[in-house]
Amino acid sequence: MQGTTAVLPNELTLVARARVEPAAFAAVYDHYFSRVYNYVRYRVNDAATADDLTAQVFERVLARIGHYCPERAPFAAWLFAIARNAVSDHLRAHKRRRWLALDVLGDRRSAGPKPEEILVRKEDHAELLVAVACLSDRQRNLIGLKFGAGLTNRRIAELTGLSESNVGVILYRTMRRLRAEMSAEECDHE
Amino acid sequence: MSERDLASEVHWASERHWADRFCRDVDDLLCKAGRMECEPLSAEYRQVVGIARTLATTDFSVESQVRQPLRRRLFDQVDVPRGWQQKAVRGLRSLFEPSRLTVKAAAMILMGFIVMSVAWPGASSTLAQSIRASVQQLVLGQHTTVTQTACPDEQATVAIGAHSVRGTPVASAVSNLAQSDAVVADAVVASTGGEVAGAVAGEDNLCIINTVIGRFGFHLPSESDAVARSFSTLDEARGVVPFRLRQPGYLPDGYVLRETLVAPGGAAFLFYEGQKGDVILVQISVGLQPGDDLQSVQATAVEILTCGTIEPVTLNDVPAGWVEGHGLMWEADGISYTVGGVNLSLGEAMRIAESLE
Repeated sequence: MQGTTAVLPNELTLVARARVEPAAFAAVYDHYFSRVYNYVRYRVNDAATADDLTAQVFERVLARIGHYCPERAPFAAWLFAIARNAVSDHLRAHKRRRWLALDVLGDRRSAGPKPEEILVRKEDHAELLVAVACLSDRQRNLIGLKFGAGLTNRRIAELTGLSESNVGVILYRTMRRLRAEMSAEECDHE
Repeated sequence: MSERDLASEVHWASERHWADRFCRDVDDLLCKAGRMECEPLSAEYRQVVGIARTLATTDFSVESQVRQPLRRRLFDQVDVPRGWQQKAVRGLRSLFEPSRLTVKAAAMILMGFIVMSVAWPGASSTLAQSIRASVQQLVLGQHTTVTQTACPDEQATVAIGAHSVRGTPVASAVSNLAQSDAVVADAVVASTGGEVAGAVAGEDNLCIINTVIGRFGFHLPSESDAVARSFSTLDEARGVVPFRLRQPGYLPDGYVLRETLVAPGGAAFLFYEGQKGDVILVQISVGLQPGDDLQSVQATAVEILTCGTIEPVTLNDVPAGWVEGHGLMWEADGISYTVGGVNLSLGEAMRIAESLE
């Protein structure tokens, strides 16, 4: 995620033109895609769901970007509020049991990357994601906002309704819990 | 506190914030340069910082399959209103200006439409129906939805209420057993008139029931058995189904009940056999079920994704949907019903549905 939290030059101008100018939207999309995806990935357990939700987030962003008001919040805060709502909607809906008739349960194997690529990536990220999956949803949300979205504690506080100092304390506790989970995994492997 | 005092307070707080930050950064620089004795840090703290560094530098988005396709799709959706709107206005205006080419073209199209309507009376309604059919979603009750998509060869994600369903829609009939990416179908738990496949993988159990009107899949709660039970009589099945199992008072000539399959999760499949192939009546209890853990389950729902035609109809004063290749669907009294068969017409399906008792 290196570099993704850098400021987008002329962000406000690009955002203002994004609804009507493809190049401006593309610049905003390219700048924020990784941050949105990483935020979502910290909150859900599989890459396909993260893809779906990231797509939903940008579709909503494109649909509503004309209503974005810079005076009310920075663009990143506005965008990640949409992302947070999309994930929350998904997590709520995931509580529904579904009968899916016809071929809703489709074969997705052909759409994915090659097995050897999956293996390498999974080895890179598996340990981290397994440990993250042990956290509560609130902890995952904070981890996602901090390290996936790259937001400051102040912005996170505004989004979550927590105080800024409380965000720092919960984040630190969460990181300690993550460390404990990862240490336990190492022990399990030994 | 006066306005000036308040401004001063805010300024002071801001200055203190930056001063604190500056001191921390300078200490860090001096410490790293060996010019200052560093504060002893515990091993745990160093590990926590190390994990934070890993989190901050890990980019999961390299795994994403949608980055470029989504970019292209959204790129195409961006409006370019200046040129587009002006062209539209110009187009409309020019239509009403006499002696323009557009008037002639419009007249020719109108003429063609009239000729087509006379030569082929059903053409215009067929055309209108096909356009309408490509964008339909039928909500047949609080927990029963039919969604049509126009991508027969691709994966499709369709928003249904607050969530989305993803899968490969088909026009009709049964194809080979498909698997979700989270499922390995390695455990067939029963084999009956309605072929049943159960699979266990990851966190979910999956029960799939293959029938001549399509495949029904159900994610079971963790640690449940994906076992469907078969009964030869309706009375036996009624003993295990947690709702009032209904049967048709009317069936096409010669049709008799062959089997009743009761699937986990409160669903029953009644198979009637006859000369023109099976007629199937599916009854699924929807909404919250007795014993549902409210922390993990909101409701049971029936959701269908199809690229065949769907037609809204009314059955006993409730909305129903005729799904090509699948059957007639509706929801009543907390039960989602489907009546279907390979050779079953809408008229016959309606008659069977109206006769349920």
